[in-house]
Amino acid sequence: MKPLVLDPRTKFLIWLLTNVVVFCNTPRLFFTITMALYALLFLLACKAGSMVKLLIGYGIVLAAQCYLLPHLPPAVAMVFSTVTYAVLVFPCVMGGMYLLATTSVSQLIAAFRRMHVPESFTITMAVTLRYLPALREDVRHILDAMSLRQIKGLEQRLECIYIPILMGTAQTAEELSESATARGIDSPGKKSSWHTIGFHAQDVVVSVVFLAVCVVSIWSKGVLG
Amino acid sequence: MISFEGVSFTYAGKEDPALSHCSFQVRPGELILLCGVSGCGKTTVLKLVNGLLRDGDAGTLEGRVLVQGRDASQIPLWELSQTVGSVFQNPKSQFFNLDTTSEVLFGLENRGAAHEEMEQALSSATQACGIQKLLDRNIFQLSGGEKQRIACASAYAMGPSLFALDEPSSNLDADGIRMLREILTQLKHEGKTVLLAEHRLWYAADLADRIFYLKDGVLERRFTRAEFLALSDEERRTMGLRSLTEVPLPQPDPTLSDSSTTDGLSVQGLSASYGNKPVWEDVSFCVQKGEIAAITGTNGAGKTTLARCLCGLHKESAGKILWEGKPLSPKARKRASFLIMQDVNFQLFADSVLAEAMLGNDCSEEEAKAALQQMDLLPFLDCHPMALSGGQKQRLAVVSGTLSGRKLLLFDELTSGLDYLHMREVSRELQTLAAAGYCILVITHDGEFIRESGAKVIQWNNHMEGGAKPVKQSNLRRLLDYAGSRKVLLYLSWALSAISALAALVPFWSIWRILQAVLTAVPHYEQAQHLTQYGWTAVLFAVLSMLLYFAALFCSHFAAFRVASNLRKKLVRHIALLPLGTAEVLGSGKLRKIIQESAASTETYLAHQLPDLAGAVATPFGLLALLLSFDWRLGLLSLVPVLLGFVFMMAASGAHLTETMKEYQDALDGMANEAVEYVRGIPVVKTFGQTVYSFHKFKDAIDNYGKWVIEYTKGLRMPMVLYTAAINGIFAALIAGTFWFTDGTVSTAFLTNLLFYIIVTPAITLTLTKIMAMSENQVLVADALNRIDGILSLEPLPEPTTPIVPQDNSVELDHVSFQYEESNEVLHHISLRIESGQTVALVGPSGGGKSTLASLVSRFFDPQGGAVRIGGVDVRDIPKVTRMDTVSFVFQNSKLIKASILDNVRMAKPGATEGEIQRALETAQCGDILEKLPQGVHTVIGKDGVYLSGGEQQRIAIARAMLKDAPILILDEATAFADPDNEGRVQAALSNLAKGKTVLLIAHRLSTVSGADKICVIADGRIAEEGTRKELLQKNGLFSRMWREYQTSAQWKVGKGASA
Repeated sequence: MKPLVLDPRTKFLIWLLTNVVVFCNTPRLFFTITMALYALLFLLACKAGSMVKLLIGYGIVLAAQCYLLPHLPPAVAMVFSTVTYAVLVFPCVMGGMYLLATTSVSQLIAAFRRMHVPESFTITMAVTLRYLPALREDVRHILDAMSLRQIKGLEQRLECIYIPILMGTAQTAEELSESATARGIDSPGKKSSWHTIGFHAQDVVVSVVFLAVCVVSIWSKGVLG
Repeated sequence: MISFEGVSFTYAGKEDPALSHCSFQVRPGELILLCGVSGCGKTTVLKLVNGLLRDGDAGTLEGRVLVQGRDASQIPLWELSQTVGSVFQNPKSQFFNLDTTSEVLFGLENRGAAHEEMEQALSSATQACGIQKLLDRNIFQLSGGEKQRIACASAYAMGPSLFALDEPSSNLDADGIRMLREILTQLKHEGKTVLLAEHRLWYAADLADRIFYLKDGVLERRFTRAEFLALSDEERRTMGLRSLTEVPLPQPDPTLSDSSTTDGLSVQGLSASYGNKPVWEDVSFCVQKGEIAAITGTNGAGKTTLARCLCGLHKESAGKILWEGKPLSPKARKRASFLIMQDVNFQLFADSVLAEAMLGNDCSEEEAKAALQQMDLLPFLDCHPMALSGGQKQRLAVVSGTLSGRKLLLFDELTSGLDYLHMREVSRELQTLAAAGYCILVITHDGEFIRESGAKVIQWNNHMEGGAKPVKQSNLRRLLDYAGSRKVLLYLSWALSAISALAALVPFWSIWRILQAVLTAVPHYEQAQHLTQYGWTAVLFAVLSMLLYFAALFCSHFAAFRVASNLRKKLVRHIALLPLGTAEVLGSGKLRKIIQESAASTETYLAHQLPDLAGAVATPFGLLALLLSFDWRLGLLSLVPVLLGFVFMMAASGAHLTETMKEYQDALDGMANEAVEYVRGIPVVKTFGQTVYSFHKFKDAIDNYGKWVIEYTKGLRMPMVLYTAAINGIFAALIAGTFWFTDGTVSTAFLTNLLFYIIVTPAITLTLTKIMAMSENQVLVADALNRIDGILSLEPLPEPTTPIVPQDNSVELDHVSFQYEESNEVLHHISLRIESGQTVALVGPSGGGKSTLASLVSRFFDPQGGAVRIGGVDVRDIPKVTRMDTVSFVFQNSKLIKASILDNVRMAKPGATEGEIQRALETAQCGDILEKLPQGVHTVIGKDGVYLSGGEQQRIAIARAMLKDAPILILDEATAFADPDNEGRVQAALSNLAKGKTVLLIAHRLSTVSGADKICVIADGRIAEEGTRKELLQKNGLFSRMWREYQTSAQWKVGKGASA
């Protein structure tokens, strides 16, 4: 089965609409509806695994809210009130995860360019996303080195992490910018994209569905008070 | 193309110019190699050409840099990038994108190129740099060499005519450098101009047109390729340049393989893996104090993993690491060793050199200063470590290692990007450290450095070929793959089984309700309500649970049968592809066992054990829910004795018991083996009138087993007693708990619960024991899958990519050497030629290699050395079908299958008519056999008492060979099993067969070789003598001796009055 591909802009749109549904305090039914819709989207994009993990996470948090919190002493329970909050905004979380799981960096950049987002933002975004895996590797090296040196004490450890990262980042930034400028990144003209993105029938359908849900939810909120 | 006119460049903030008065011209299509010591100005030149440095904030420029006739500083950088493509040193930080295709097209995207242009550029870049396999992949998963190729492709895609490459080989291993070299060759071929700055000269020196030598910013000397390559080693070293030719890695040093030293590091049988993926296995070596050892290997072989393992940063999956004779845990290793990483920046934490040296070490300031003095770092005491140069940072890291008192130092790639002088300095440092008693290991692929420092190479990667091995999936995963479309059924069976287990618990709930109803109605029992209702619910659910289980097993069996049949099909298909000889070597019995039984055991596992496991896992959860839902205090209380019981079991089955158990298993195996031997030996024993005493080995095995079984049982006595007591002591706990909780008064509800728990808890222990028993069966399946793997991993014979048809029917062996796996060489450089139509006989003592030779000709195996040619074409290049049609083989003992004679003979030529087959049988002298048989040609052999003798079978086989009518015939002792009567006929049949064909005849009986055109005597895998019979007899060598003995033996008689 071919996975369903949506234009990144559509994904942003439906995510925005979900946010509206959640933060306008519409009836809880619509929360469930949006979650179900996202679950369907996940399945259609053949990412059932991620969806199951998300749902399990949701289940755990929900169970904690229902069964655990009432039994805890009030002081402790207040600390965990964020749990309740997480349950509430879960549709937005699902939306965000869907976006991240199904969009590659290049597609994102292409979408930004089509949306006429300023280059400076696009490039910053791209470099950040690209830098994260490299950063992960660097941190691993640093932690290895630290464990070899037997550095004790939390504050000393924190101190010891951030300088090498800083230096490493500075070095990488310089090399990266050299490499990018040597390939014409500051070219004034309009940039093109290898990855073609575009609106297709599925984008229209999905957007319409989400729009409908959003509108109905706001209307029913007004009606039901 | 490029023109430097009196160029001087000084970096901002520095006093000395990086380049002084450089002037040169580069013509289009030239490859210029820039070389010199570090800091000579190579990188500056490159950056001036590609526009990254220009007059302004970065520094001051004098003179002019012209690219294609235009002043480079006047052209905006993005425009210049269209003409100059750049590749930098560090593969990790050159990439803007995360996937390779976008990266290659990055430049074009920036330029706003149209889609068609991008497609064209992509394909041409892919062609030029050979990156077909690397497209559309995550860059972070590529190796260093592959990343550099992508970088080259990215520069190439923009279509520049000039390339500026800044030390691109720094982080690459030998393979990566070779790939780079290929790209350079391609660029040259296309007429691109290339400026290459390098330390590692050997891979580019013979590609360069001119070589520029820079020193302190001045272009001192210019060489042509010939002049440069003619430089002597002395001159080159004075110039501070690395070797001009590749220095190969030296052979591994055998003194390091003996891993039993107690002075220093000793590694025994080490294996490591990432998750389930093994990286390398069974590594053993030792490095003594005062030695420098080198760990080499291609990228991805796992060198860094080995280093991390030795440091304790990565836990090994098997094996031991000993330091000074004592095994070290990973934590201890962290304290005993120190790793200086490739990028030292990650290891420097403090804000001054002194603080860095003392960080984490308890040493005094004087000691620290003394160590720094030794490494020439004393002038920099108060500097920030990041302000030091690369080499100085490395030395600082070494100091912090040595000050911590650790004696084992590991270095990860410490010479990448170093020029000759620095490399020599580093090797001198290492030698000093070694002399001071440190144990030093270096990970490197720098052959020159190894030579310079006198490091010894460790033989460690002889077990795994470097590179990613296929991911070893879990056994269950693989079985699931074989299930194909019926995989769903397996999942379904587990779900149903689990539900059935849960449904089986519902009756307990009914019991509780009944109890409750009864106790509420006390003392008027008759008034208890709804009893029958609860009763029927219990029955209903019990029946439901059974039905569900039935359904579950139904599904699982369906799926399991499919798996077993798929496994068998795959195995058989694979075996058909293997070289003919492999089946012989493995043995048909073993193969049969694997195909039949191993596949069957997977079936039991999938069909029965897994659903049971699913049920057994679901039950505790259900039980737990049940227990805790009514009264959690009593529930927990009833679990406590269970836990206690398990604790007793674990504690008591300590090391001693595991040992006893192992002895017990061994004794059991031993007894089983001896029993088989006993049964096999009975006929012999009976014939020779021996007594049972000859089976004393068997008796010993039984006694041994008896002894260990008793030991094992005794060992388990105490744990079992305690365990059983604990489990059954739940009641005691519950009663005690009752008293404690209720202070004398008992409510009905409580009583209900109590009674319930008393009834339910035995069920818990039952299921838990069932789960424990499950794990045993895992082992069986693993074993079965291993065996199956053993076959599937055998290499099928490679088919030729460009098949060639043989020209004639000659056979030639050209310096062929061969050995069977795990044994000595059987054939040593044999060369033999048989012309078309010739008959050549091979004779010689047993084990000389005659049959091996014959099997090589028909490609049963591939020789390790030399080549076998049929009709002038190497056997490996002949397509299988042609080869099978060209060569015919008649074995020593031919096998006929259980089918009619007609079908047996028809095997040679599937479309043959009955007439053809009859003719073949006639010519093979089988007429008398056919007369004997009830249904003639249609008689099925091997059934209903119809058997043929050896000689008769042989004649049928010859008929088969005749039907095939292949031009080359190999007869391997074809008359071995023939009795005198048959022999005459078989001989006649053979001579009919051999008419006009090229024949290779192997014989023990010298009578058969008389008519051969040429006789070769093969002894000890070599041709001892060659020639016609007459010639050999005249030579009076091996053959004539054999002939004389044959003559003598032909006259032997057995019986009274026999003469010698």
